[in-house]
Amino acid sequence: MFDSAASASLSIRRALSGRHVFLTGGSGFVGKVWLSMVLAELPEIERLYVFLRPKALVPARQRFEKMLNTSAAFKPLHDRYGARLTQYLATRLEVVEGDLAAPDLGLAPDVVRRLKRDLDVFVHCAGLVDFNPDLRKAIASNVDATMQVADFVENCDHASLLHISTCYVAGRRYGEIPEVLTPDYAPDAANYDAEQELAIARERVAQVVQEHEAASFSASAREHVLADLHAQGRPLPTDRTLETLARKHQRETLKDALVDEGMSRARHLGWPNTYTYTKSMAESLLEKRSDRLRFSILRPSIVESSLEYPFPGWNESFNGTAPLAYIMGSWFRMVPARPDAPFDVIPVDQVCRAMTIATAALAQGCERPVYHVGTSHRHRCSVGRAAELIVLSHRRHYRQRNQTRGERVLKSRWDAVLREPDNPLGVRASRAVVHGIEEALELLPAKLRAKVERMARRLHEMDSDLAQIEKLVDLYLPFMYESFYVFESYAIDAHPPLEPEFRYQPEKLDWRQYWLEIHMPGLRRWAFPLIEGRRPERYRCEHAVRLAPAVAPPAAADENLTSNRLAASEA
Amino acid sequence: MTDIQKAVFARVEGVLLAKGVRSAAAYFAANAPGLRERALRLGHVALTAPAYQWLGQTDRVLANRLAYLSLRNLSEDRIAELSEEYWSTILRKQILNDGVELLKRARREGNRVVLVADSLDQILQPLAAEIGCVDDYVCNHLEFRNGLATGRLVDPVVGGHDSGVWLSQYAQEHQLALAGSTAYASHGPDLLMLTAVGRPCAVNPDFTLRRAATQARWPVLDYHV
Repeated sequence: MFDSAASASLSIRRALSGRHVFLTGGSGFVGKVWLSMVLAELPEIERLYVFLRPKALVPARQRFEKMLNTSAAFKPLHDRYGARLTQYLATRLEVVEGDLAAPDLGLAPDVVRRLKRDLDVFVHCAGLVDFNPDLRKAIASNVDATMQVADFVENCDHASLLHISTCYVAGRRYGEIPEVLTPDYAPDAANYDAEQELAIARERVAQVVQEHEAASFSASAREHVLADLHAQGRPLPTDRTLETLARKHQRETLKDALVDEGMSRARHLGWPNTYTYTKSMAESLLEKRSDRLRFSILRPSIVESSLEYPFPGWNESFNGTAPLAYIMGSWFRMVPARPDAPFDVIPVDQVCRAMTIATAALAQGCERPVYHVGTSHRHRCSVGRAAELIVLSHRRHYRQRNQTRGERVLKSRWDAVLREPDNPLGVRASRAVVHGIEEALELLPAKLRAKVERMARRLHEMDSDLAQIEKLVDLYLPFMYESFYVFESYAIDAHPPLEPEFRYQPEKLDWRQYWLEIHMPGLRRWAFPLIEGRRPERYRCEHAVRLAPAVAPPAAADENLTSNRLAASEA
Repeated sequence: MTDIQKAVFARVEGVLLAKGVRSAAAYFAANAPGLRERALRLGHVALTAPAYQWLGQTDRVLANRLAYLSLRNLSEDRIAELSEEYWSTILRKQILNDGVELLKRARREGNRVVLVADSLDQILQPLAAEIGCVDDYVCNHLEFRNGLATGRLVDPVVGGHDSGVWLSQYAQEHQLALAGSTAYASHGPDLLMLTAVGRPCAVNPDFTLRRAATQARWPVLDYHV
């Protein structure tokens, strides 16, 4: 429980003045907004290192430039500095290239030397945020990378670590979840040991990979491909094509098996998915280092569209409410959910405010071990209310924007409703009905079957749509139906910022306004096009930033740099 | 407080709008979540319609309570959104321009313009903004608990015979001279409101009010057929 007497105001500017801060995950949804926010609002930070991987032969610096010039998250920076942005960034920011899975993060030796000497706070925001990724990738990104980061920070002279995790590491639980870091925590396992679990998970991955790479499996993959081509009425392929197709099939099967393996281990131990399972494992492993590593864990809940920064409605998240909100605007109506359960959504800029406070607390040495950043405790929005607001937003959209009469008159009134998962009109029951009809059609004489071929095709399409919805519902069910969480959120109040612009105030959210006027229009603009396979609008800045190759910063700040900072400070 | 000493009180339903409480209740019912709920709520509105018609002359407070009961368990969010929709798609087209002109003229003549409505605040707010010359309004408010409408109206419920008492209190609070004030009303239960002011006027009156206005030799305006 939070001791209110221990809270003391913190000057964010003073705490971070002259500090060296390192950021991973700067190309992600949260990382981008935080980076933009810090660059725009905290010119006091001495140097900001942005870690990026080179991708497909594109060096990190080039990737960063592209991101900076095309992502709307950086719009406030472009608006403020315009053509001077390149110069402004050159004095404060350094893009470093490396590999989080490698020792010393794969950084160049001179960068490592400098960082070990100068680094104050390492903000580890990188991670794989898919709910059900391939277990191998999830371990590499969420566990191994975190451990490499922890090793690196441990070897620094005085650095501390801010690790971004998730509230949902709590797993399948009920009631209030405290802001504590429990050693070797697993929701449904008594004698859980994170190190042992990591070893078991690695072993399972190795087994699955071995099974899928065995000669017998390759042969069966070839047989499968041939059978598939035969069923489609296609001619026999050449040996080379067959080999390629078989390998592709093998890869896909291996990926599916690793996804299933991750989900089954997670659910066996009480986590809703592989993401939370691996994130929790990383937390437990960090906890084991608490005697030699100074760190804080910041656990946001479901991070969603920004409230104010970079502008209202900015969104880039596909794992939040976007898929669910999207299907609630379709003809599918029955969403399995508990209306009274809290739906913990938090705007991305509020998360970034909390990250800045936690970073400043670490720099000042007054950090708390865990920060929950959510709304279920301070300003609750229930699943029922969120669903109602999603429905109302679709209603508004279909009434106002769409030209077809069907959408204006019918779809706008076709409200999704929350029901029990076993509702007779739910997705599972609907699929069963579709299957039943398909089977009945199969029994028809050949003459009649030809007449209903179009209907059979339509049913098949409907079934594959329903299968996707079913998959999605299964992923979201733990959050919307099976759990009833309230994430206590006291720790962040231990350091109320002196400067009002850095205050974290989720209580000020007006949920109706947020969902109807900010979040849903934001999803429609940035996330729904991606779900539909379209490209969302792209931000085009007026003055593109071109960064010079990274050079070691000057020993002392020159006059120009100081005047820039002062100007930015005043702005 | 302004220096306006006289006021114009206008009953919204009948004077400014051609639609009343039943139409709004039916709209909310028809747009409730879920098809079954819509059917049940619409059934409720249909069943209470004759009672509303009958009570409209005797106990309009009870009539309003009955009509709004069909909004029970609708969320505050939905009511707000539907009110906006109802206003923009239906009610806006039902504004009686002659009524608006009456108010604008009164405003130009230095009167404080006060609307009295059986409708809900969510509906009256955009109406008052649209008309533009409204100084104040009094209307009905739904009671909400945990974000859901209880179906009850918050006391005092507007619409009954006691609007005359309310009007006197309002005039006292705002230092208005009732003898120099005007009231426009359309329904029987507004009789006391009309008798409380120096210049009463029946507008598009129903049978009861028309008879009373004729007997009392009040002016009668008919602009809504």
